Amino acid sequence: MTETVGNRPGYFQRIWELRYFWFSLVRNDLYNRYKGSFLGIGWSLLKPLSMTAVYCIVFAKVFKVEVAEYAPFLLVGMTTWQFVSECLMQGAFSFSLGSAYIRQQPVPLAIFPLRIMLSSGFHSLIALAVAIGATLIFMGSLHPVGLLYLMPAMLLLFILGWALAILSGVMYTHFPDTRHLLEVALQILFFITPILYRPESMAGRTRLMLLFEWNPLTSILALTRAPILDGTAPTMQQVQMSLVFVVMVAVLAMVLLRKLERNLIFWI
Amino acid sequence: MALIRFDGVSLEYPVRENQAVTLKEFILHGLFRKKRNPVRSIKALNDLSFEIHDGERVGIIGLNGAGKSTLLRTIGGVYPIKSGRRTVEGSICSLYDIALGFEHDATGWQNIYFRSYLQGDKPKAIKAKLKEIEEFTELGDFLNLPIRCYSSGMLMRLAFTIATSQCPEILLIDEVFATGDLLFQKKAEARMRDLLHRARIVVMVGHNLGFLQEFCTRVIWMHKGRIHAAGATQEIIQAYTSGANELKRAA
Repeated sequence: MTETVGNRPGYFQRIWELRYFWFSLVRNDLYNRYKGSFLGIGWSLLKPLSMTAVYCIVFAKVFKVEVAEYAPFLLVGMTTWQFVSECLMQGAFSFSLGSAYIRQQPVPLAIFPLRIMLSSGFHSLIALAVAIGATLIFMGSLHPVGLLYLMPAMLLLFILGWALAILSGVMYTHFPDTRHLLEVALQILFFITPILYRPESMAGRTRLMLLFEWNPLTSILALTRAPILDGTAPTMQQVQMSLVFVVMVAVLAMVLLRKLERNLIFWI
Repeated sequence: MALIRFDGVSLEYPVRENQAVTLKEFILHGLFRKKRNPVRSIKALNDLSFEIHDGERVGIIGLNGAGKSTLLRTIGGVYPIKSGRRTVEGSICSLYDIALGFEHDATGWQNIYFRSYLQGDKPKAIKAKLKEIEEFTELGDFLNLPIRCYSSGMLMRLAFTIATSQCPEILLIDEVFATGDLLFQKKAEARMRDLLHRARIVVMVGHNLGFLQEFCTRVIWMHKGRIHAAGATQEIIQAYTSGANELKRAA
């Protein structure tokens, strides 16, 4: 069983050739999200900001935590977490959102999770900028050189986001209850990842520390936290773990998509 | 040199009796018991073989459910085939469901860009064609309004114009003219004829036999996923008009 369609450029090349298409989809998504709303882009910042405010107040009152130190820590962590969780939750619908286009023209399907990742990435970048601003305000100073380490961090995060969106989309297409599974899983993950608490603060509890250490998201979070909060690069161990994790997820996404892409249209 | 060649092409698509399987079902039933929600394969295309060469205008007719639209989409590369060999050479522009593939809140102009990008056009090339597209659609000021305000006829004009603005080598059209008025049909016909100097092959699915009769050089009559008959337009259409009833009764 063969198909010949003349000259077929590589997969990534085809994605690049269609760059105007998916880029204008992203632009359209962002425009629709904010058009007609009062605060506009403010809404997408409201969630991490308000959650940070609430947690800050609670932790300050109940756990007697120093707000000036805690708020930036929380904000940066929340922003990064929100990006990852949005890529997963929205990535699930990426193919059904694009079903009209998929039925119209054979296009490389990775475009649709890419669109989700970029839309989410845009919000996250803005939120991160706010977080950096907050750090400046609360801690009084920033280490500009440290911020350079954010560049490779962004790249890794984007790849991770894209791969997670692909996995989520492929799973949802075949199993609609992926959505619910993800909701529950993300909820659990939120608490076993040191977003609300500093990884070091659990010094006495070995099992919890182990959990934090082995949770790949801890290292991923360190990618943004270290440059902004400490002005340094993350530790070698964290970088290694992040790399391994991102590569594994990316490879899994590529393999699954390659295997299932051909017949995916029948399931959308 | 444009070419479409199908050799023994079959296409099946899976359908589950209950819309979708839950993860729990997949694990439990898949592993331990026979599935209660089996996947059925619907044979949409069955062992199709034909060739379409440069300069041909082929119409595809048949009863509902015969596989015409499926065939068109398979030619376009949207559906994967199960067996056989599909050879398509030349750039393709297709017009399947005109209401799909539009962003409903975006304006006519924005959608022109969207669809053109989807077809693989670059911004500079689109800019050059904008005037021509506007004139052909005759939508004028409507182009500044969001698509959800359009009637289906207007959508069709827009979609058809965009699809035919790219000078593809192969043009695939699926029953789009149902909503176009007489004048637009004549215009579209003239445009397609003109396109033929540039588009080497046109494949059209339609129920409007009069239009097909005027426009097509050859017609393929599909029935239940197979080619029932194929040949000169007049002949096949006549056979279809007189024979379709018996075929349906025999089914």
